[in-house]
Amino acid sequence: MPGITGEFREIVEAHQSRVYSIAYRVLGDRGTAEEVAQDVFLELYRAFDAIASDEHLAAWLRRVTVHRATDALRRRPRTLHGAAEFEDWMAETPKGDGPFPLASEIERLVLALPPAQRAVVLLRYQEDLRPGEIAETLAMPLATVKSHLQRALKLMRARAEDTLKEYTRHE
Amino acid sequence: MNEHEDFEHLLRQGLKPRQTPAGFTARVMARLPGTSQVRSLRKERAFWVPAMRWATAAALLVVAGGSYWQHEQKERVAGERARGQLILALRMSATTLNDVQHKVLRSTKGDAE
Repeated sequence: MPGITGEFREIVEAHQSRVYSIAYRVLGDRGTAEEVAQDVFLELYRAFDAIASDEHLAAWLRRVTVHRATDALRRRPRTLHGAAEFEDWMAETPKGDGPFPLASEIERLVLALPPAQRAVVLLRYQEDLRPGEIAETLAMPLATVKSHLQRALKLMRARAEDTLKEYTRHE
Repeated sequence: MNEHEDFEHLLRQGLKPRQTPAGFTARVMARLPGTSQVRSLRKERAFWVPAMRWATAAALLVVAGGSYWQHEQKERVAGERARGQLILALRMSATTLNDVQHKVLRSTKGDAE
């Protein structure tokens, strides 16, 4: 590859982990997450002239990744409602290949959330965005973001009582 | 730390960015349109903007130079035409003067005889 492509390569290398993580945690599937992440970077390449700054780039990547991953998720929807359904899903879903057991458990809890709550939780706890920034990224009213966050936390805490007991004890 | 903060802390710990699968960057770069001729967009812009400025300046210089040369040519032709007319006028004046001189001499000779 000619050295002149270096700049775009550097951008891919700097942001791929963030983009892939969002896609994976929305979708719960490595193959589709990689496809989505690649598509996001191709879209970035085409829209590159419109990117004004590093902050703009990061916000653009978050927004487009969440939207593309959610679109991909719509093609194979799965939303869990009841506790029994969740238990079945946790039992049949592989523990994954997270960097450590806690990460796998947390990822499984996030993946069991409804898609809108999942996106809000990822932007809050993976990307460390404030609720106002999340509202802007997802073009969602602030009150809705706060409501999604509260419901997601309540749901995850209830479900985590067993799965994360050992980690909370050590904290 | 209360229970809520404790749980939020766990979420942040568990949601640290994942590593991408090996070879991810290469696969993205291979999918870029016209990869072999792909240029750095910012560098390309950095090159083309000054290049366009220089090209515009050069084109303006050529146009201005051409107009100046055309004007000079017209002036030169007009000058040469005027010079020719002047020479012709001077020649005619000399011829007329000679004629007058001959006539005067002839009449002077006639008077003397």
